Amino acid sequence: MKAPEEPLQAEITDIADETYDTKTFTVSYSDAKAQKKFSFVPGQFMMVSIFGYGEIPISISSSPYKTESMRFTVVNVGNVTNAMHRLRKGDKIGLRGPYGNGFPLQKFRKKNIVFVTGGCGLAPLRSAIYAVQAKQSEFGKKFILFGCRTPANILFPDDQKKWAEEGFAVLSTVDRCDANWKGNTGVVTCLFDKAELPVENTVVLVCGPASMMKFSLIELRKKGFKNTQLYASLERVMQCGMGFCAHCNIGNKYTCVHGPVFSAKDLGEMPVEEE
Amino acid sequence: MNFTIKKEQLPSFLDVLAKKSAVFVPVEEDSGATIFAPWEGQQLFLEGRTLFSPKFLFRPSQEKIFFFRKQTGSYEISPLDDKKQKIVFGIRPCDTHALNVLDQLFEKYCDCGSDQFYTSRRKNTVLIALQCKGPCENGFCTSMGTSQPVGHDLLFIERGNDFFVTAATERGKRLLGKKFFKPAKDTAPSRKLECQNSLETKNLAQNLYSNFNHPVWKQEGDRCLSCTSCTQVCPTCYCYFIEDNFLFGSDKESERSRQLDSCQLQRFSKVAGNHVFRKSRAARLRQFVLHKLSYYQQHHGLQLCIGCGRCIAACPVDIDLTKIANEIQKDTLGVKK
Amino acid sequence: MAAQKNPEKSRCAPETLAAAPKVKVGLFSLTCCEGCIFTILDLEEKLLAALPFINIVESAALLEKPLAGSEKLDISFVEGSVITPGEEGLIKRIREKSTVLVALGACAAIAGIPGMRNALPAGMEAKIQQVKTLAVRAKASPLSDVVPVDYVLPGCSINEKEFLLFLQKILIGWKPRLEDVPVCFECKRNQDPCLLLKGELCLGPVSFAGCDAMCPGNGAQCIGCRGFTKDANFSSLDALFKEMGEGKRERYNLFTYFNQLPEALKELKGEN
Repeated sequence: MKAPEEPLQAEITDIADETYDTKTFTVSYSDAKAQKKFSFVPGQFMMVSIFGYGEIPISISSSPYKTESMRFTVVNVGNVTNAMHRLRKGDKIGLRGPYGNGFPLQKFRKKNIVFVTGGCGLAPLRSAIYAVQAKQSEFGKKFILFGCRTPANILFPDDQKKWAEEGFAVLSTVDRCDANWKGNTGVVTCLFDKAELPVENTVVLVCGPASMMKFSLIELRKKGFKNTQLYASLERVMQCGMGFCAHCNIGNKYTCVHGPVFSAKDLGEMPVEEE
Repeated sequence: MNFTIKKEQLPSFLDVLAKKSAVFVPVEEDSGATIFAPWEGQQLFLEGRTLFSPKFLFRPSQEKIFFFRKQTGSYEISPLDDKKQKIVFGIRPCDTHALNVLDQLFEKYCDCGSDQFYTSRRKNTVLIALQCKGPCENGFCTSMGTSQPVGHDLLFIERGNDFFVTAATERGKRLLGKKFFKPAKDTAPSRKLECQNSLETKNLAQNLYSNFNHPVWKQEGDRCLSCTSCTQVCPTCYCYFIEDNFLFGSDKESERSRQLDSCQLQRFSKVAGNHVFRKSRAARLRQFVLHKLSYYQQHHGLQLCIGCGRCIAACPVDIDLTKIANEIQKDTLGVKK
Repeated sequence: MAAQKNPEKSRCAPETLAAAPKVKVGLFSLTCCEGCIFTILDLEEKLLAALPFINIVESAALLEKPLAGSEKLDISFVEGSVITPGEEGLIKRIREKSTVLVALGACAAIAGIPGMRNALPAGMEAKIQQVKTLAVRAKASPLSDVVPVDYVLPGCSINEKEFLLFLQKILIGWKPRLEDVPVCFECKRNQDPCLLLKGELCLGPVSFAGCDAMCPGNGAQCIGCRGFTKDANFSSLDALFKEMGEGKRERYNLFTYFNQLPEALKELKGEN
């Protein structure tokens, strides 16, 4: 008998160190057929099992056009991610998914697109950025605004360089700088002015810590963006990923099924649990 | 076709059933807890609904879903199953509705496939419903429209010295051997309940949802002990978390299990980094009530609450879901209650 | 072996446990009944099953060896409260040589029964000073008042299953966390009736679960031996006790049986 929570096995084919606490795992299903059938929308997530430790939701950080494997960028914060960080190439993990709605990139064609990210929030957005990068001509102006705590937390520097070369306006800032840092200092919202974001015909995708998203949306609205132009990807506790376990609901919405990507319009209609 | 069985023959009938299936019956334990337990010829508890619902027969509170073992190169996942034939005798109409409501979720809702553990248990379990003699304390099934059973195989109605028995399904009818059951000469006795407790259901889901910041949440939430009794006794509380465990000396075999969780605990909404999304008791209580009376209906078209009143009966500090909902309804509809 | 310095880093998954070097464990007792160490010994074959992974190198109860030598330990389990200045020095030495320090049982976790001496009626302290035969500190302290404690396994005595689970989890590099789950959660999960509803005083709603609600499940009130949860609603529970007709003194005694009086209930103190 099969529970819907039973994962398929997958192999870690590569591990890359991103920062002192972040690694990117390249993973593919052990069953070649399952991998061949696999496709996803940027912004969707997988339930990743580390056998003996548990299961957590992780967004896919690789390109939706390269599905011979998938990548997960994971920060070492909890027991399961800690165990994952101790795995080696060739180790087996469990996977099920993809779950969630993902970014409606189809709807964004012909528009300017802005990615606002905080810390490891760049990981779920990277998949969307790759998708835009692959079909550049379909989009208008492209911006990536990246904020993180310290220069040591900067994620995907090589990617960021490449995106800048390929016509994305890439701006980054750190909360606390060190002696070698010559870039911007301050929270990510201070980049909004610098970037001179066009409001007309633009969509903004936001992903990062809860408070960073909250203040980004507030500042963006002040710039004249309408709720229908703003999208955020949320984080909640998830046990099943399929709308069963009821851990991730916000008001009448399940983050795992109706999200994790919500428009600011949806978010505005959600009741606020607590202040 | 309808039948009757003499009350004194009921134990013998259950004995016959127990030969082929696992039979579960409502009993009162020495501790005073009323639960569904395997039939062992003990005294039945037929006075009203049990405090603990038979949901555990379909969704155990701790349920292993598979074993796994590391082999060279891969994990061997050994699936588990539960295909035991079961008969539940004495399930009340409200509890048959509870199962009907959970069916929406575990059988039909998700395109990820149904939960085979639940569906298999449902399929392999015969429900012998027992009509209530009268309203139970705290119950409000008449408000929720759950006083008549649904999806049962047989219905027993107690009267005088016998039970009036109606077969609702073929497999139910097959259990009615001639030894105990005689064709009924009269029609089914009508049992219209009049619950003392009630809940105004007009536009309920919407009204509760739009009163997210009503003062009643904090007022009741401040008294809440967060003891989780309400969610444990509720026949439709199903929220769970998933856990891995292994045992020393068990040849390195580990298991993954689903464990019943409770929205009344802070850990329920705690993410990595220890941020809790529903920290206050008011928010947690509201999550319980709204899931029961608003969210589920918005998703599945049915109220998750089936009006059994168990959460009210189990609460040590008398927090009453109907009082909360009626208070909001009174303010919204302007109806005197 | 260098790998033993940090047991958490050297482990990977349950399956690789057998291949990893054994973890050096010490069992220590301060002032207490030693019931917790005996609970571990009572595990019998279950403890034997864990022995391929752990090496108990220091224990007064198990091995006839002088206590607190200088050998480094990976995990130290310490039961008992810190009552004498000598114990204060001992626990500091244990802390120094242990990578992980686990407070075992109510006495070590929350001062427990010895902690009763922290709230003595007036005049009692002077009497103690007269009859005392050994130097005692002004307070009976839980370990965490004296040294940093990594993990707490509460209870009087500890729960066997919880201890084993803890051992398993920590050996695979998991950081077990005592979640704010009340005893009632397990009590109701076991389908046991609520003692509060029967009119009995029970601390289930404010005490840590993990004991499988052993006491309420057998009809005995919970007296909070596992300590109070951070999420406890003391004022509501105390109001309920009051409504049930319990006097201030009875309520005070119940709340301070194993625990120190919570801040929310300080007005209970007065008369005592």
